[in-house]
Amino acid sequence: MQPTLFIEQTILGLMMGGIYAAVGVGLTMIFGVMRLSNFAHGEFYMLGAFLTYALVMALGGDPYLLAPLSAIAVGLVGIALNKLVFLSLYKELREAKGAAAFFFQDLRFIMLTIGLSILLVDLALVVWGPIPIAIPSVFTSHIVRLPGGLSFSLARIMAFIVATISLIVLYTFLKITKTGKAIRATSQNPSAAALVGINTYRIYDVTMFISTSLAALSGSILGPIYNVYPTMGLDVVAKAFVVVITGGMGNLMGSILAGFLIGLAESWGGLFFGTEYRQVVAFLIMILVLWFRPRGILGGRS
Amino acid sequence: MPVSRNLLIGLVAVIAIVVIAALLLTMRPIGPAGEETVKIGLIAPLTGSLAEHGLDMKQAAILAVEEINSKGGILGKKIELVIEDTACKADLATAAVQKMITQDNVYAVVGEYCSTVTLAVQPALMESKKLLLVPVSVATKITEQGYKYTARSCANQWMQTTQHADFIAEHLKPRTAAMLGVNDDYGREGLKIWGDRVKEKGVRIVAEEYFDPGTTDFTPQLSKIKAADPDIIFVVANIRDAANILKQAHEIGLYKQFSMLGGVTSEEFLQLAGDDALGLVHVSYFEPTSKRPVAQEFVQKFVQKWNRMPAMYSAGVWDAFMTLKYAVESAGTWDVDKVADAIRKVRFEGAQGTIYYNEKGQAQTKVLLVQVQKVDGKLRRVILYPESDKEGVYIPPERLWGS
Amino acid sequence: MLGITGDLALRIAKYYALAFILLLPLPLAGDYVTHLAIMIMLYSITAASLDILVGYTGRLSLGHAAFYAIGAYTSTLLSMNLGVSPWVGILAGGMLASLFGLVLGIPSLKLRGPYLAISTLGFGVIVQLMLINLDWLTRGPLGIPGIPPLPGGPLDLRSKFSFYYVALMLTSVAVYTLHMISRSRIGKVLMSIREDEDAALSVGVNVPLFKVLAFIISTFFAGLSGGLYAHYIRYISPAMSALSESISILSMTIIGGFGTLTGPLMGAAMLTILQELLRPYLEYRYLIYGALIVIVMKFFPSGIYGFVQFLSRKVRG
Repeated sequence: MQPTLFIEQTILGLMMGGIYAAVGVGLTMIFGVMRLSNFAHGEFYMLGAFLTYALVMALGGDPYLLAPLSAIAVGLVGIALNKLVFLSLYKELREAKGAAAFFFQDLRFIMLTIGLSILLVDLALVVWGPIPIAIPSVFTSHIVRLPGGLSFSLARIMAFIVATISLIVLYTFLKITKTGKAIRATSQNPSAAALVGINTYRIYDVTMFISTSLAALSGSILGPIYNVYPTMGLDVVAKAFVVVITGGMGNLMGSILAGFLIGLAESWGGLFFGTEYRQVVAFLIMILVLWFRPRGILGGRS
Repeated sequence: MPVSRNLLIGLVAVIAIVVIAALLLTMRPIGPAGEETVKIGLIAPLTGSLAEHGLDMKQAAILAVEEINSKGGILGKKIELVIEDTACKADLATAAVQKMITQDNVYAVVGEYCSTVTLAVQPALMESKKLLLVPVSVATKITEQGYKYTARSCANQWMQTTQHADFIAEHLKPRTAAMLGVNDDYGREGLKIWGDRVKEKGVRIVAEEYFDPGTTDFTPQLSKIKAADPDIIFVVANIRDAANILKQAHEIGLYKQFSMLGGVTSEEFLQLAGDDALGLVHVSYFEPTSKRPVAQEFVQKFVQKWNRMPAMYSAGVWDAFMTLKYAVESAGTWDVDKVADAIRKVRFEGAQGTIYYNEKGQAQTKVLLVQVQKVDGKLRRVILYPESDKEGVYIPPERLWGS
Repeated sequence: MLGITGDLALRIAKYYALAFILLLPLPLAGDYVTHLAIMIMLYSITAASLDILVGYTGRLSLGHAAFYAIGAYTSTLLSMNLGVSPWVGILAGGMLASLFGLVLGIPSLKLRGPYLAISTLGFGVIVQLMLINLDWLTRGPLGIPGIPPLPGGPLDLRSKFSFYYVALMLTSVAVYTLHMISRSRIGKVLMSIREDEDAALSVGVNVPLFKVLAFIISTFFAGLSGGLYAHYIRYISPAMSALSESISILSMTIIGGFGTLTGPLMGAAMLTILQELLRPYLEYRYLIYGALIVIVMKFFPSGIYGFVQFLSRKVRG
């Protein structure tokens, strides 16, 4: 095998990994704090991309400049949904007792978010139509050439940088700020957090905002690269779950690590076994990891 | 005993649901005037990841029915269109078709996009003697099973892929080729037929790669192809994937001759791919720029009604409805056996060209080979082959992109 | 040994007999309704079998359609390639599905909640990709058309009318068996695992054995209904194992009311019929469908079954 091919595949795998990590982080946070397996996570990614498109149409300008606006808007939608749909469920769980109650809550959340996902995909279909949309950006047509025949578009590099920066910002936010510490405390033990005077329901809203706006941001920066269409969220959500589970649910660093692991596994798997086995390899890696570490690489919340 | 009471409640509820629903479902009105209209069903993916193609089909079907009805219908009967969504799922489609057969009592069904769905609904339609007019699904098998009531108005996978392979081998003369296809029935069959055909002509296949439906990033596959350094790359994909493949190929520095099947013949594809589509050679069964009067009339009506250019799939649906019209008129009766025979004898000018069917009910449409070129600063498809329709000459990738 | 008294078995059987008799005249409503009823019954077996795993044992699966597909492919390939009778094929399909259930059940013993759910999701995707990639065996992504119908002696089981009665009989037997299992000692042990795994372990229950057993039972019945589906529709493709199929089976189980066994039957009936009633709305219908799922799950966590119970309590004051 040519060494350049191996190097190129490795770099591409890592880049995919960065994207997986960016989409996965929001998912893992929400689970860590609220124990919510959000199957509608991909739909916030999709909404982010469509809103950015709508903003570009309305205001003009580059999608990469308008992405933060759309992320905030989707984050607010996330808070609204949190208050409207999920809040009463958190309250019920606070009063429930026994291991089975948690399991029932899991099921209910999963079904609720599946219903939400069906609803949002169809909403996008009805509003924006089924035909894929290209969002023009100056970055997509710029190609950066590296020595050795390697080259990448500026948009992809931008996406990678934005994803990395938002992860770093999120990490520092959780480590340093008061709200960040409160989020971590709630994630570790909600009832203890409530006892020390943290308004956990407000923390849930903040977490929902961060999670959905991260998803929307990923959608906005990847939309110009991959085009925008109603089912785009469904195409990423399963992979995002695989990443989150492999990393350990609720574990931020675990998700980032697992994102790169799965990205690499797919790339190398495609290289050695043929590209029709890419996904098989990725899923087998997940099952193998869980065989040895039932709570993911870095261990997650039970 | 409360447990048994709950069970009783449950079972009674199930039965109540089923019985009430049965009443609701059967009591649906059976259409306004049963004698005056004939119902034709359309099944297409209007939701789900393939909904964009369902839209092409739906718009063409509505247009075709309006056209037929505005000219007095067929043998004095107006057509009533019954549209059902399948989301490209076999279970939804079989229920939809069963409803069309029993409740709507359709005369014929036009559809589907996905070959797997067409194959799933075919037995039920054939057994209840309903015509199945296939406008899009290309799987060769559909017309190879000896069903009398099945007819396909577009070129099948074998026809378009072998003609494509012959053209490539004879005119572009590559020594090596790479293949990239979607890992489903369309991609698998396409790669198999194409690969076998060009191998016979002495072309060496240096890479064969697949991607799963729903993939958005194709750089891993393209990077392997780049390393194999082929003269030409044959791709089987729908427009969304095809546009991304071309974009991403150029992104990683893979500037080679790409060639594709007919699925990418649409204006939306050119918009999505932009200048990255330059130089692409692909199959088309229908060119909206065609100078034939029938095609021009179809394009003009479609644009007037829907405010967009018709895609190839729309032309297939239009021709399916026209096949029905001409076959019934030439049979002089709605008798399904006679109409099925008449389909195999009609010959008419359709949107895709002169349409006539072989004994298996496969339309013998002409396959065009086109290249995306820039004409007056705008991207358009230029017909390279056959000679009778030729509009321009092939431009090799070196001249487009440099070396 | 199973902990069911003959009395209980008989009493429950009476209800099934009653339901059976009441459903006998349904095919008079025409082929369309009959087809839907058959699909509801096939889904009922699958959703009820999933209930053993999800509702009784508390093991969440997002890959149940894979076992349905394994059953369908096994029976199809056996009857088409080796000339085995489809009746035997369906049974073999159930057995192979439960073998795969064992294969999945053992490594996932330690996994809980979402970890198990996503592993089973992965299993479903792997099965689907294998059905696509191993085309020398499965004929690849185009699927297999022309599957022989069930041989019915004097009856032509290609007709929906006669297939309905075969399906009604088999569904009654299958669901009754599942019902008996859920009421037996096995069912009670499974429920104790759901309620508190550690507590069950501490009173000496062989938890791993019963967890695997739940997988085997559940996947066996999913395989059976997959086989029936194959010989009814007479066309199968790898899409049967898609995630969306697993999700729709899970929706039936949960929305119907998990852990009740009759709930999933209601879920299968409701969701199938809802899809049909919403048909005229074409691309708008999933707005309603999605919203209904959200509303039911928000206000009736125990599903339609819970709702019916609630109503019957209201009626009686």
